[in-house]
Amino acid sequence: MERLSILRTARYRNGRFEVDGAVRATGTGDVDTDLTAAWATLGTNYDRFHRTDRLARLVLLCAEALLAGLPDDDDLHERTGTVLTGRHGSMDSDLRHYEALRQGQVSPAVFVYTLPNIALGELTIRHRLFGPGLCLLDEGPDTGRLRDLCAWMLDGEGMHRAICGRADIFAGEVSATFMLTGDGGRPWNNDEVDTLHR
Amino acid sequence: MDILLGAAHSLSALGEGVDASFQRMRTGGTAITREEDLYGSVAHVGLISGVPHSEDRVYRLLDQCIDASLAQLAGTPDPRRTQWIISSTKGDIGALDRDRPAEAALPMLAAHLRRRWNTAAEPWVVSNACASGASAIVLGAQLIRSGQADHVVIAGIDVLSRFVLDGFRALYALSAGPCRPFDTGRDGTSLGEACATVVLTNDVTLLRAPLGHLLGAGIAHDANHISGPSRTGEGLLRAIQQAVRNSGTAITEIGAINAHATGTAYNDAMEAIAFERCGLDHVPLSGYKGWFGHTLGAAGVLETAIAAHALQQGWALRNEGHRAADPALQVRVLERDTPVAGGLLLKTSSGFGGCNAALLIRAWNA
Repeated sequence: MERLSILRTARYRNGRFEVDGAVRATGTGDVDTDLTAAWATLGTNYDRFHRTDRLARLVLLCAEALLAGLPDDDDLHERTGTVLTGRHGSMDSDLRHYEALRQGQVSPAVFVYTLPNIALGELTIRHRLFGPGLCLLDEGPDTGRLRDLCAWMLDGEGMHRAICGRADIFAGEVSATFMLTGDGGRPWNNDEVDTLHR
Repeated sequence: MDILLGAAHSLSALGEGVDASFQRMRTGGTAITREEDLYGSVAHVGLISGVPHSEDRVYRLLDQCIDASLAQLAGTPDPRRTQWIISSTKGDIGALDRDRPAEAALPMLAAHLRRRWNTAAEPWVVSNACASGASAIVLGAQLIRSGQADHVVIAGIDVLSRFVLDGFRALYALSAGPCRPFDTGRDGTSLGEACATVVLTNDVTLLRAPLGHLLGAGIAHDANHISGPSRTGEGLLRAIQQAVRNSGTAITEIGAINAHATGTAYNDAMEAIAFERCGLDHVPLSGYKGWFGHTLGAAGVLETAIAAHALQQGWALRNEGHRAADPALQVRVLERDTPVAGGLLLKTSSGFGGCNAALLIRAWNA
């Protein structure tokens, strides 16, 4: 637990995208346009981003900002744990699949995103992360639990870093709060984490 | 730290109760049935009978199963030292039919548990696709090992719905008959529904009849494809290695494997490759989905409970539906129930998103 510190943060609130507190994009109000615009600020070439559902795009966006500049090596692939939390999980794609059912036009490409952990899977594929990962759903962010989960990844599972993210898309509201935790950053502070999630 | 597993209960196509399910598996055949008109078409599925198809069916199943588990305990666990975990993929997705999407959110299950059993802590909800149940047990073990809890009540649940059935159909993932995991003629999975519960504890006096010691647990990702299993078994290999590492045992002590075994061509092949890479190709192996179907978020809890119970009784149960070995798979699939003694049970689960979980269990009486 001693080495649990915050190395980098990313936040997204209805189009406004911040990395370590610096504003990268401000948004227009259109969910898809805003996610694409925020992604463009990272200058990343990864076409699959545009073929995933909104929750996965939100997760990929924030994780990309957290991992930017880190060596793409075995240490990243084998020593990175992941935790994804949220309130509504895959509900955005659930409703799309449900509407497709009503229309009699079910699409496997939509259905496969009706599991909340698929966004986590997209993140592990993008960065080739083989480490432990868990998708959890809850009413709201629980700072103590997030701290314990990160400590488990780092101390219990021997990871060198843990991505701890919260992402939600429901009823037009889009929000995400992501932290890269590990050794050598500023010590974990519950107040800071609470504030970050507001 | 000794983490014990027990007080298990289940509701599935096999009926109610873990021992009753075990006895049915020893003496009978598959509980998967052909339904002529399930949401408008023919389907081979494992359905729970005897629980009405009411709007609150998911909650009724949870209540019935958890009550039965808690009734098996020798005392009341200290609520301040007890955590609760639910594993599910779609929870009460039927709320969409009632035009109440907010009620389909998975945290609604946690809210129900909190109200019903007045839990001191907010119940956790794990949703790691079809590895949810085994992943919930991994999390439960961690909560005890880290000192955050002495007891963990784990409930896995998923019920069949048009939402899921038509989705799997669109993926061409369903078998034309009851699924036949690891068989050379396997052609897909069969869906099922279940609710299953287990209790983990570090207090042996709490369990009247412990099922086993949970020695090791691991989770890992394939980082390969969101719906296609890894062709090299990367994540499952790592999950097994992690479980063995933190168990303090050797991989050579594994005496039986209860695999995820969906019956799809690629899942079973992925598992066979991972087991072979771990040097487990000679270990007796079976999967249970040929008995009651793929119960999704409940599968890991249900299958762990029955496999641990069978181990406790000295058996590794056969792989129902297996007729002819697939020569491409280097695994030792059980065609008949086989006595086992002393060895460890390896339980594995894998799911969409590339998630994998592995558990190592030693029988209580071993």
